[in-house]
Amino acid sequence: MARKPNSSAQTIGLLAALAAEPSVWRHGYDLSRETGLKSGTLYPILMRLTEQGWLETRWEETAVPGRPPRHLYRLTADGLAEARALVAASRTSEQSLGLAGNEAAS
Amino acid sequence: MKYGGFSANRRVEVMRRVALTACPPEDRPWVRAMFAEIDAVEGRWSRLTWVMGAIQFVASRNLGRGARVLAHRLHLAIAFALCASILSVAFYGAEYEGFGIDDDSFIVLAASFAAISLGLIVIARLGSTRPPPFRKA
Repeated sequence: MARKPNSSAQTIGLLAALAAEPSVWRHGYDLSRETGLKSGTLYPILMRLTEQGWLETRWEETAVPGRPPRHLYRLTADGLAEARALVAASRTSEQSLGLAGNEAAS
Repeated sequence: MKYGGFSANRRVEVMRRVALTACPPEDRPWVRAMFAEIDAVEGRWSRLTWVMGAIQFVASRNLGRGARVLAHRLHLAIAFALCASILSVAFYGAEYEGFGIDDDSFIVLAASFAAISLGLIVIARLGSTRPPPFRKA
């Protein structure tokens, strides 16, 4: 059975982190630390979400001369709605699995 | 931070340039974005894993691009194999010994080549992914 798009644990974790403060622009490293995702996993997800129109991006000039501008990310309005729905569905699914596990154990 | 006269920052810069050269043009903003975070990453080990992730990212994107090129070339290969099969059938019965292979073996060889090529095309198509456009706010 084909999996729903953006339903992997890593993507849900990232969406949850972004949806926690949707108006705030986030750095890639900041997101990596919060979600525990390595750069090689994080950036392909960021690319995919951007492609789907869930994320918007911009460059931030740094005050330190010689340092390259940093890339920032935040959810679009559509992305926020989708993210909230996916995160809620994921939590419901986890809870029902937990209940089923408890019933099976008892 | 210097190791043997070659600073860590210089090493990262070299890797950044190599990665930017190696990656497809449409992915360059993403590679720049990954390497721009290096200064913010705390700890030598974390910086190393961050750079390794960037290299893994470039390698995986190049693999997708390579698969697409391979798939494109294999279309030519399969066309050649089919032509060879037809020619082989046309020469069947004649005393033709192209490449020192007899006609029956040549047909089998060409058909096998065509089948393998087709399989590789399918694998390459499944393995290749189109890079997304780079959206700006």
